[in-house]
Amino acid sequence: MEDYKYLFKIVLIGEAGVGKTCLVRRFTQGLFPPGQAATIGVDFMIKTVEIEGDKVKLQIWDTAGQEKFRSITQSYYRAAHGLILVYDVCSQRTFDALPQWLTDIDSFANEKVLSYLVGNKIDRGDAREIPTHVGEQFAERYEMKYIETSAKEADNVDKLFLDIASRLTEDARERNRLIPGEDSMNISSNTKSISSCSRCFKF
Amino acid sequence: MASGSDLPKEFDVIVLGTGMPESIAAAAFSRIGQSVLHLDRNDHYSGNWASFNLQGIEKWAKQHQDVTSHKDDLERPDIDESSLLEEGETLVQLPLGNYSFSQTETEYFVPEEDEEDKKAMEEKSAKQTESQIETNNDQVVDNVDEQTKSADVHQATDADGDSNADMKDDKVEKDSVNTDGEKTYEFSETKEGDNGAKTESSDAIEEKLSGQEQIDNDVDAKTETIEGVKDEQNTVEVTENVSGNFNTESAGTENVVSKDEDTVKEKSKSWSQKRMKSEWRRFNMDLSPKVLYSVGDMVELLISSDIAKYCEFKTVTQILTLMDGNLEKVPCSRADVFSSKKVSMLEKRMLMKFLQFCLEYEQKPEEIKDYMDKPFLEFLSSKKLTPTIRHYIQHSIAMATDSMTTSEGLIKMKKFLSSLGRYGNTAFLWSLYGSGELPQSFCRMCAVFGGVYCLRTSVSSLIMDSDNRCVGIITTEGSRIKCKWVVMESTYAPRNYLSVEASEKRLIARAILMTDRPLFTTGQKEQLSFMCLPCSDDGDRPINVLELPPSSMASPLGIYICHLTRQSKPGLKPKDDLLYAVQSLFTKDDDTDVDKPKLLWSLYFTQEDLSLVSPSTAIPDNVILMSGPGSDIDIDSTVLEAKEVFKRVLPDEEFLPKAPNPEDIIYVDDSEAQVADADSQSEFSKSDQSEQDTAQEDQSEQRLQDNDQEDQSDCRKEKDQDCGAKETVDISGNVENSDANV
Repeated sequence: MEDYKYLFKIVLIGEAGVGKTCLVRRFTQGLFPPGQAATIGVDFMIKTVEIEGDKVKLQIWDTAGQEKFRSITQSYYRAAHGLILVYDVCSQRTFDALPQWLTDIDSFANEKVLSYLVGNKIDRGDAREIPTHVGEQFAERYEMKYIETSAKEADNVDKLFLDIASRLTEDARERNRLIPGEDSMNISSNTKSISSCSRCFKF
Repeated sequence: MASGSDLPKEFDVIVLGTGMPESIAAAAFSRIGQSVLHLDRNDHYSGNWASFNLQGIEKWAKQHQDVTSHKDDLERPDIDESSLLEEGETLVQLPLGNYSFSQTETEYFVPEEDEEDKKAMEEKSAKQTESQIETNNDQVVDNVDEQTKSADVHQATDADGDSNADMKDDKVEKDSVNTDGEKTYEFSETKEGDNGAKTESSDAIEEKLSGQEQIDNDVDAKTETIEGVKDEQNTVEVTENVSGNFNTESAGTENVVSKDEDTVKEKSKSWSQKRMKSEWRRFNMDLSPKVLYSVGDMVELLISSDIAKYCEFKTVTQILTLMDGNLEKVPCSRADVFSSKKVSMLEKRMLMKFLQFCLEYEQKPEEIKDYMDKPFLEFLSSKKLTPTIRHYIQHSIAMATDSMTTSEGLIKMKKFLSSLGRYGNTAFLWSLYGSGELPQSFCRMCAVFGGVYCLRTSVSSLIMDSDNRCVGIITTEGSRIKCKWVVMESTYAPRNYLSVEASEKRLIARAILMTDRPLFTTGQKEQLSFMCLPCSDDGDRPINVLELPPSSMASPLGIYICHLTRQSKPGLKPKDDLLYAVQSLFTKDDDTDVDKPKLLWSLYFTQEDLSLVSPSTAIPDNVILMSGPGSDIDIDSTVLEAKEVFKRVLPDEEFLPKAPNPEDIIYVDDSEAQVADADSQSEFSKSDQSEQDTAQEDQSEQRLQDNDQEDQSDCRKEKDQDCGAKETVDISGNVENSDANV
């Protein structure tokens, strides 16, 4: 059995081509694969980090290409602890699409999900179309945390995921302290493995 | 966003409709490497199997109010489709609309706005004025403006999910960025600091409260904000929230007090339309609610394909029945039978003996051979059961209709009985957030293996070659897409593809009801109940009742969702057809009959039973029709259907083999990845299958567990004993153990 204290599900969303997969691969594998094709057969990637002495496992889910025609399944958002909405700072179009993504978050994600707005590709300084303060304002308006990253140069990528991990860990610790053994807001906490039924119900 | 016209131009399989069987088939094709394009004409997944929140279902009900004809009344796009044809090719037009629902009727049974709502609001505004004085007025006002504005944007989007609204939304968004972007920025620093204050004050709240109450409060706080947005006069509430942010700790404490009062009120307060609508997100209501047999084809497939990792389940915790006008819990497991106070010792033995027989009936052909083709009821009579026991068996366990044969009845009995005890003390599972999540899980699997998804896309025509084979489709946007196979839900097909017999309409009467309390409950535990209610007017058409508690994620706290389903006939109104159940189980009045749940809201509709599809001879060999939802309570038949379709297209391939566990995928190292062909589909290799299996066994206990699980692992063993009805069921792992249980 693997050794970790907390497991968090983090989902990425945002327009196609803003670098969602690159962010994940940079963080989990330290890679920046230029011009990579769609990731076939991979549901999520895993990285275990240490937050103040506790092992925290991050399960990071990618969109499986369903964002391309704006057809993400609702179930993708369910039970996510953290949510990363990504846009490309060099593409006004990907920024303009953010409200549509917020509609989805609003409808399908847990109300208490920790949301981050990420402006990616800051390495392409000359091509930037969205100034930092505009992104910041947007994030603030919708009560999201804001950070700018470069998956290519590895700028702020670790910081992004570690920030999320430590905030979620802090929340989890707090909840444990207040309501030991129970967390009714988070449905997945009650999951039960199928073996756990005693024979008495069997016929 | 890329538009549908950017779709690739060639696929192995094109699947139309994201309902249950189509989605399973799409996942199976994609999983073994076929290129799949999966389209749906709706703006949501799951087609006729979808689950909607309150806003969604109200909008849906409006759309299907009075559509009874099968006329192709949607406008066809102005495209010269024949210009897209090659020599010898012809077109077959497809219908663009969906006419399988009709006679929708929604009604609220609660006041638009509660007296208490108004009173509470006045109190709050009074309190508000006090606390506002303490804070810097300018900041508050500015901030309110800002919040209201942003909330408005949200509202526009929420109210209407269609693309028009989205575009409008877009515009509003840009405007607000441009006009007050600077201003907002000026305050951002202040706000940063306030966030800290907010955290502190909410800490204070949390310390004073514990458990459920705290959660209630959180919910309450959220609601207030939303309500504030909806009604202009309510801006005070928004202000309250804002000032809460600005206040220091002492103000936070004051907040605690007021919230405590609210919690008390919350519990006694009755619902108003306003309050229900403000919680619209928390509703998940099914067009076609379906349970899963714990030992059934769907559960087995979810486990064997590992698609179970995308969904969560609850057990149906009790089977109810109406006997002499009273609701009772039906004892179906061994433990239930022994502990039941409703049946005598003699009856207990009788019931146990009969149930045991049903599990082994195949080994005792001599006892049943004379009855197999005769009605099941006749067989039951021959068994000399007491009326109570007979009632349990006939209506609750076999769910037998008058005309059901003994062989059908015994098959149903056995399926029910063998599903008991795998996950709980009834035979059934329910998927959290509704049955509409299940097709989506298969769609996700399809997408993970490269399937292309596009909602809001209709196909206007199929392209036929001179041998009457379908060689491709034309979308309403005028894209020509080639394919080898087309799999479509039957409502996507032209009428002449369906044989005449099948076009005789079979109908289902449906109701979705919201109530203020559960039908039948003992103790504190939330129950998820199922009941088969026989109707005296037609013994072949019982009413199935499924009651979902808030913990099934069907509704906000305090509201229960009841689904009524009955086979129907042309000419019958769903409201009349289901009247018996509604009158026996619920009340519309506040004071009378306090035991019965009070109706808060209802939706009635008629649904075409599309579960039996018989294609006509006109259909091309490489076009396959899929069934829609029928009146069955479960969905195992969709698995068999999808398997058959898969076999027909790819007879030698494996149907949905287990996907590699993402944690076991070994990636090639850095340097290799850098030189790898940028276009290569996968830059990783899969680990050896046997290794994976071992790894999976090790990890199965851990998978999909939550942060708190670790702390609960100790009490898990205790839970084993009582099979706590409250837990969600995770069927993803532990294949080994589950098999042992079967």
